[in-house]
Amino acid sequence: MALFIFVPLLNVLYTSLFSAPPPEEVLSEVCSTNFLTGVKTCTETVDLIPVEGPDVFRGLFYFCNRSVLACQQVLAGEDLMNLPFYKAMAFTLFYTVVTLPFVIVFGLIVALVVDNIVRPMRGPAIFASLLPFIVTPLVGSLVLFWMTDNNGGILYSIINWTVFWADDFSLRASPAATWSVIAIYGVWHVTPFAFIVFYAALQTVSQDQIEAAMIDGARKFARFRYVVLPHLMPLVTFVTLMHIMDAFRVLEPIVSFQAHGNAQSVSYLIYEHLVLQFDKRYGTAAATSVLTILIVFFMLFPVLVRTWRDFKIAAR
Amino acid sequence: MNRNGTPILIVIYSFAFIWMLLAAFPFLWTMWGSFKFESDFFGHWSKAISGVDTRTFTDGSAFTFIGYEIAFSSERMFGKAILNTLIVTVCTMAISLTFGTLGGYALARSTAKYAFVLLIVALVFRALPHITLVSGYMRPLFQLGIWGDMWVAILVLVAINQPFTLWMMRSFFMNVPRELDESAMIDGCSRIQGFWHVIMPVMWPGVITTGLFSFLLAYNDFAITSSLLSQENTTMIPRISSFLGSAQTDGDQMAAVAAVVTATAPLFVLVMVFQRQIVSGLTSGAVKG
Repeated sequence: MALFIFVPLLNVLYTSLFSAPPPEEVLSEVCSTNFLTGVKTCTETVDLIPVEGPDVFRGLFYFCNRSVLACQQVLAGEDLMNLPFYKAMAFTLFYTVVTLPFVIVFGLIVALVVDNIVRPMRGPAIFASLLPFIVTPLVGSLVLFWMTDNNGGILYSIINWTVFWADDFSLRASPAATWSVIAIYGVWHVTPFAFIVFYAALQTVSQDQIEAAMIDGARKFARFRYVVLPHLMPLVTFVTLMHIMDAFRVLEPIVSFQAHGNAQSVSYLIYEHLVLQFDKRYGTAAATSVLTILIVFFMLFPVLVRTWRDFKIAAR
Repeated sequence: MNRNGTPILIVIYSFAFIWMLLAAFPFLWTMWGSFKFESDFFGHWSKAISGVDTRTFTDGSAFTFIGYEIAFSSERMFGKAILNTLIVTVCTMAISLTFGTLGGYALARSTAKYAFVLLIVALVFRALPHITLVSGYMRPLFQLGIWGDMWVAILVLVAINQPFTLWMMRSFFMNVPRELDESAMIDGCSRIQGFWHVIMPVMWPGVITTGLFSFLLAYNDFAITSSLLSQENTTMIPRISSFLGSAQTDGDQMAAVAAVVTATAPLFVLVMVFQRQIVSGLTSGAVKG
């Protein structure tokens, strides 16, 4: 673990500060003689020759790059939403904040519903619920994309019937449409996880407490509000935590919805720099990664402190 | 719980039905559509159900294997991708289970301070988006000339999986009482013997659950496999995404649809067979909090 995660992490930091010297432009002339006519033709090409040599310290060059923090542009007062990194951060935050309440509420409702249906139906219900969560994100989002994108697609038709303002709905028409479709996918994908967690917790609600509440005259709703819900509260924190971690990983839906024009997540930016670009932008990717890691770390910090404390208590 | 009134029951059952439909229908729809011609599946939804064009092209049959034929053709090589996926997932699972079991056991039994530190560090690593690590891996791999090899991707997947496996195995080992180790050692076992002959037999459910999640991580991964595997070594999921690019120009998206259905089928079986383990695995972290 130390070797394969910690060392690469250090290398990310290193790459974000240092880089190979910029490649040298070399003019070369390629000549060929046509063997029939004997005419010699030459073409000039510019080759980028990588320069051998030690890496150069670039300071905050990559961090201030236009693709990352864009120091110059921000100081010049350019609109933040035109700059990739800020746009991606905005999307990631939007995704987390918008999907989270839906995930928790839907997860809770589904858990309560499944808990109340007859036992033989529960197996199939859990099976169906697990699918959106277990099936590969890329595949799951593709499946939804195909149903939404084309004009006669079944989800497209349903959206057009039910949502009156979406007359002639198009996935890629506006950032708002793209962002909301990805958020809907997010809710569909993560709700099963919240459901399973809540459902398992419902099985461990203390029956004694429920009975005591009934003897005290609590109706069904009051029992839910004052006995079941407090029992589930720690799990709401757990689901929230997992969801925040996962939100920074959002990558696949953007690939499958072909939504990069309107929506890019932080992970997608790094993916773009590393995989899609022909000349790989290691420095930019590494700088973005370092910032992402720092943000995730700060968001996790309270949890880490709590876990640390729990350990100390357990050790005593 | 049988004291619900009829109206409430109706609400509950209709909601359960709607949710099951929402969750499972998209997959069933795509599975059905994968046996159609492109103009049917990507046409109007009524055509996708009835398969009008498919009927005209195939002399009356509403089903066709054309998508699968294209996907498995020598040009698209989805069969090779399946084989690669099998190698990558099985190796990742085996290696991470070996390390996870031994490490989880050590961490569960150790009272040393570094064990806590290790667990906290594992928690942080677990939270990082996978792609951030790729930017650390890629340049050295190119410099060493081993980018694109399958074993490299396997090692990276194992590493990324390790924090999770360690936590999960540790929580399973914590449920095995310490007295079991001690009694084995009093009976003359060494620690290794006790681990192997006494602890492991009661640990199989935990190993299966953890193995299942390691398998799913490797199988579902896109970030690592798409960036670290060369074209010929690539697994199913990145291969599907490469279909998407070419499908736009070739006009045969059905290969992608067929590939998606092929990749989903094993997961269906997996969820059906191991439902109980998946549920327990998803919640084991939750209960510990």
